[in-house]
Amino acid sequence: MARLSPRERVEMVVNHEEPDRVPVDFGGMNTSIYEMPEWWPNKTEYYGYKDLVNFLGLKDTPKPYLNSGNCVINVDDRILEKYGVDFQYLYMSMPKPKMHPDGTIETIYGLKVKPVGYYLEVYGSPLAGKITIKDIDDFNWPDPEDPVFSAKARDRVLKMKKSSDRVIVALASFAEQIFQNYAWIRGFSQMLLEMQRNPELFHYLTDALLTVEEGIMESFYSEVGEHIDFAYIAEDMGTQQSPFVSPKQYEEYWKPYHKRMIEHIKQFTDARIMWHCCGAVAPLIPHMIDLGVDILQVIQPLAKGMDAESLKKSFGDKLCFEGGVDVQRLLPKGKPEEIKAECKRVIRILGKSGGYVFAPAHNIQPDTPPQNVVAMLEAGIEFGKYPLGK
Amino acid sequence: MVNLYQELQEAIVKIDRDKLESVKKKVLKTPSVDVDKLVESIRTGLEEVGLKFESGEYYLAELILIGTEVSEAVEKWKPLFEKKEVKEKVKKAVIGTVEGDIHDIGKNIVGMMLVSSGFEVIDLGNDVTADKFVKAVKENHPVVLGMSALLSTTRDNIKKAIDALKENELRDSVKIIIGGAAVDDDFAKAVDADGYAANAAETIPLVKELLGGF
Repeated sequence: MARLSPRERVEMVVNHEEPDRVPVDFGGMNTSIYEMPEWWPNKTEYYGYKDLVNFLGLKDTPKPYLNSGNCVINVDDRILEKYGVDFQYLYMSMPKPKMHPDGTIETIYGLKVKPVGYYLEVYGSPLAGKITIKDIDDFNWPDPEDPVFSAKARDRVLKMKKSSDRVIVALASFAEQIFQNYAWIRGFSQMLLEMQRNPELFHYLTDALLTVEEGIMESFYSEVGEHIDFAYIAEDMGTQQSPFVSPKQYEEYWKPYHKRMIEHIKQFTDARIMWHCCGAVAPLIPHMIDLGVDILQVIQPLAKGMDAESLKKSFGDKLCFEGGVDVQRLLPKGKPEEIKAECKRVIRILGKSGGYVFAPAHNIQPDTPPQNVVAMLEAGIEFGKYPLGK
Repeated sequence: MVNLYQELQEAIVKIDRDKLESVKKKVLKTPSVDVDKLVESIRTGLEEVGLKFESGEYYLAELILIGTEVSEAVEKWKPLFEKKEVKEKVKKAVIGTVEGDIHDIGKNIVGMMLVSSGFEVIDLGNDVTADKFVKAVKENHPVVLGMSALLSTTRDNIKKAIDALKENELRDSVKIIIGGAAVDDDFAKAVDADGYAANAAETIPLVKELLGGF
C-alpha cells in the first residue's frame, strides 16, 4: 500500500481497517518521556529526555517544555519523524499557578501540589473534610469565561495544522476529567465514601464541577473544534487489580456524567474521542464503547485483564486501543532485545485488522535507560508494517 | 450471644451497612460482650471481604466503605477495648508510604484492617523518610512495621529505611512487611524485609503468621 498520511492511517485503524503501517503515538499526553524541571528541588539521578537526545546524538534540540506530569510536550521533531509518530497534542492554556511560601503550588480548582520524588503530587484538597451544599456553592470555582482558556487557541491549532500533517488531539487540560477532579478537590477515599454514603452531596458536587468544566470546554472547543481530530478525556478509573468502582456503581454514579461530558464536547466539534485510562479497567470497557469512545489509551498490560490477547478477543472489533508496551517492568528493566520481542508480539496481536496505535503504556519513567526507549521506537517501525506477520 | 458475633461477621462480609449499624448498637447494649470474639468476627469478616476483592467480586470503593465503617464501629466500641487493654498490652503497628511516593490507598486499607484486628496503628502518612521510620520505631516499639511503595522509582527507599533501622540496631526489634505495586516477594527477600503482601487482604494473615498468632 502507498504511504498514507497520518490522518488517513489513523482513520483506517479506528475504522478497524489495515493501513500501510500501525500508527505510532509518542511525545503526547501520557505517551511521552520524563524530564526533571530545572527548578526541581532535591535533584536525584534519573534517565530522561536529555539522555534520549544524547543517545541519539542530536544537537541543538529545542528546550524541552513539560506538562504537569513532568513529561516533554515538544519532543524533537527529528525523533518524531524518524520513528513515524502520527499524533500531536494541543494543550489548552491554564491560569497561572500561584506559588506559596510553604513550597506548594496552587493550580486550578485551588488544588495545591508540590514536588515529591520525581513528580508534582496533590498536597491539599481544597474541599476536604466535612462540607455542606453551601460550601460547594461558595467554592472559588474557576471562571469558565476567563480568556485564558481560549487564549490564542485558534492561532495555535492553525499553526500546528500548517507545520505538520500529524493528527491533532486537543486537551482541555484539567477540564476533561470529573472523577479525577472530584478526587483531587475532595480527597480520593472521601469521594468513594461519599458516593456510597451521601449520594445527594455526591451528585450535587459532581454536577457543579461538570457545569464549570462544560463552560471551560466551550471556551476552548468553540475556538479549535473544527481543526482537531480527537478530543481527549483523561480519567483513570482503575487500580492494578480492578476498577476503583464496580461496573454497577460506574453505570449508576459516573457514566451519566461522562455521557454528558462527551455530548457537550460533540456540540463544538466532530472530533473523535480518545479516552486515557490507566489500570485494570476491562470490566468498564463495554460502557466506554457505549459512550462512543473511539480510542482507549493506554492499555497497561500488567494490570489484571489488560493483556493484549484478551482485550483484542473481547473488544477488538469495537474499540481501537493505544499503548500496551509495559512501562512498569519491561521498559525500565528489560534488555533491548526483550523489548523488541515484546513490542513485536503486542503489535501482531493488537494490530490485527487495524484497531491499534503503537505507544508505551504510559509516559516513559525516569528509571528507563535511553537504549530501551530506542528499542521500543525502532520496533514500531520494524514490526508495524502491514501485512503483519504471525 | 452467638448470633451477635455471627451477625457482625455477616454484616461485614455482605458489606451491609444497615445490619452493621444495628450490630453496633446491640454490642453497646450488651454488657457481657466478649471483645476477643468481637475482634475475631471482624478479622474473619474482613479476611473474607479481602478474598472477595481479590477474586474480583468486590471493588476498591466497597473495600474502603467497609474498612471505614468497621473502623468507626471499633471507635464506638473503644470503651470495651480499653477494659481489655488493662489486662493485656495492645500491640502496635507503624505504617507508612516511603519517601518520594504519595500513593496511600492500599496503605490506608491495611491500616484499617490492622485497627480492626485490635492493633494500635501509628500511621506516618506518605512521603515518609527513612529517618521518620527510625524515629517512629524507636519511640513506639511496634511489633510490626509496614512500608508501601507504588513506584518503581521509590521502592529502593524501602531498602534505605531498613538499612537505617539496621544502623540504629532496631531492625530485629520489629517484623517488617512491605507491599505496593512496585514490590514483590523477591524484592522483600533482597532488602531483608520479613514478608510481602500482594494486597491489603493478604496483610492480616501475613502479620498473624509472622507474630505466631495475635
